[in-house]
Amino acid sequence: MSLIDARNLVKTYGDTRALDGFDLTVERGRIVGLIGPNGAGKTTALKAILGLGDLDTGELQVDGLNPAEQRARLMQNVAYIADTGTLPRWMRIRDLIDYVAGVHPNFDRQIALATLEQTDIRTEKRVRTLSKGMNVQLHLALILAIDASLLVLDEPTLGLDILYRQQFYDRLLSEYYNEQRSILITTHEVREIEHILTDVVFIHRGRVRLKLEMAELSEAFVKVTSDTAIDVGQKPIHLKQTLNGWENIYRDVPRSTLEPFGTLSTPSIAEIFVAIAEDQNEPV
Amino acid sequence: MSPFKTLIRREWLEGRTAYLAAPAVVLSLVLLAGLATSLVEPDVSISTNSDQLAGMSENASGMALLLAMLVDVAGSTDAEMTYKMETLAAAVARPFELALTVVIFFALIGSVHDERKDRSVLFWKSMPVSDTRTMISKYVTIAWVAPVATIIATWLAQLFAMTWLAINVEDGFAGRVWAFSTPTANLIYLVIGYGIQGLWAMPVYAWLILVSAVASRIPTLWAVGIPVVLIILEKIVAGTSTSATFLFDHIQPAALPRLDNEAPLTISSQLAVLADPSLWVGMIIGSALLAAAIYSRKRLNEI
Repeated sequence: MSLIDARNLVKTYGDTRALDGFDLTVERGRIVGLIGPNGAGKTTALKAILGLGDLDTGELQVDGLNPAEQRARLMQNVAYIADTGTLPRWMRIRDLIDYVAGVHPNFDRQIALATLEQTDIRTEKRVRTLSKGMNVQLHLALILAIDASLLVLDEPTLGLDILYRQQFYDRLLSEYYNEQRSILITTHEVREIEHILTDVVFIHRGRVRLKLEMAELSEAFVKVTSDTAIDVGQKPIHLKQTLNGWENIYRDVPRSTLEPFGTLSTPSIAEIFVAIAEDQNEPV
Repeated sequence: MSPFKTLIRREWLEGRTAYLAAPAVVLSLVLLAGLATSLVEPDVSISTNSDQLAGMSENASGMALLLAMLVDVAGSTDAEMTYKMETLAAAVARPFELALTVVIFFALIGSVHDERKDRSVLFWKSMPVSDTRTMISKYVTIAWVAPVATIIATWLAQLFAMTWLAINVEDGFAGRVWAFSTPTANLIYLVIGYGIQGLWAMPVYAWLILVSAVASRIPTLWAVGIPVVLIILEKIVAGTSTSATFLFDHIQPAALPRLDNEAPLTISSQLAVLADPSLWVGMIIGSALLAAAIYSRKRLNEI
């Protein structure tokens, strides 16, 4: 059974279709990046997966449960950081740890305390006294001490400096991730998570436009850099004139076909993202 | 700690400062008012022949003098003493009750609104705790845990008032003051009174929680405004004032010591409130409002 199984999810807010036939399957042991422009439906999709909002139509199962109806049970196996700065600011850190230990059957206090010991965070302090970076460290320490099968991170590093962001993802990969657990991440800073992802999912206008394993990426997408405009017999999904010449991105065109026309490379996720969003061949 | 106790503790921690500070401040004021005025030398020479002042210590002054005059230990019958001592206990309890009412009002108004406003609701909802249990823990804490400090402080203030009166009456009458003091009963009245209050005020409390869960801005305004509009509408449309009477009834304490009690307060008169149909109507309305508030939190109304 898949960890996440979403079929044809639809959610409208007034005239806006935030989710418009959203399909997604996530197996165990994957790190999935959910990429899309603002308003693409990322947050709405995550909210649905976490049981934080109702859907208009569609079938959704997470860890075998219906999130909207069984949120409390689901949260025993799903941990998430919805955003930075959501920890209760009035609370002392030791009381916060007591709280999580009191309500969460899969929380290991020792792991949380051990993680915090590596930081400058003192447990008798209140959350409001922490810097933004420390706040994320604390949230991470709490979440990583939960034995969950799915970790969901929605823009977890928004507004943090580069040092914290890098630490954050390094720890995620080294201390948390294993083949029984999956991580679902959305972020604007695609470059930061590119190297840790196993899969990437592109969302645009409430629908999944592309789901791809990172390993397949270099097969499926090729960037050709050339001095002059080229015609390989197939339309590029993206075409850009730069100071040095032309950049064409092709999808599902064999490298051998493209080789004679210029220098081949694998486009970055950001480039593919732009290409997909603007793809002339595919109406969006 | 069990999950539900953890939830209660979390709610207690959030409101603790107000729940402790309100009775502490009132208790300090009562003690100050009593002690400070007692220390002042009597500046008026009072005729000890006056009937009113019979049985009063010559050293009584200020508030103590006033209190001793009002109670008139020497000149009261046993029945009058019972009534007066009970009234004294109720009078002492009143400021504590009012302070707690203000604290509870703001605790309820902020109960869901605050976590929506600072978005910590997203953290709370990432925990395996249902919205129903969370909301019930909020109600239980505000209705029944918050008054604990108030009960203790009220009882101490009542003890102080009795002692103070006993000190300020002439030798020989102190025994009469103690004979009509009922500290144990006073404590029981307060415990039962506040216990029933949590049920009696349920329509009001649940209404405030609902507003807290639904209103996006200035919940206080909605909390007060909507009932006022409904009361006016009822008056215009039907010409009646059932809702006004109901609301006014349930804002008032039903089983706490009252200054205007005609019959002496007893445990059975307090418990009789439980048989009042208005209590049950209120609890049905309150449950419906609380269910609506739970539904609203479930839907996650972020601000």
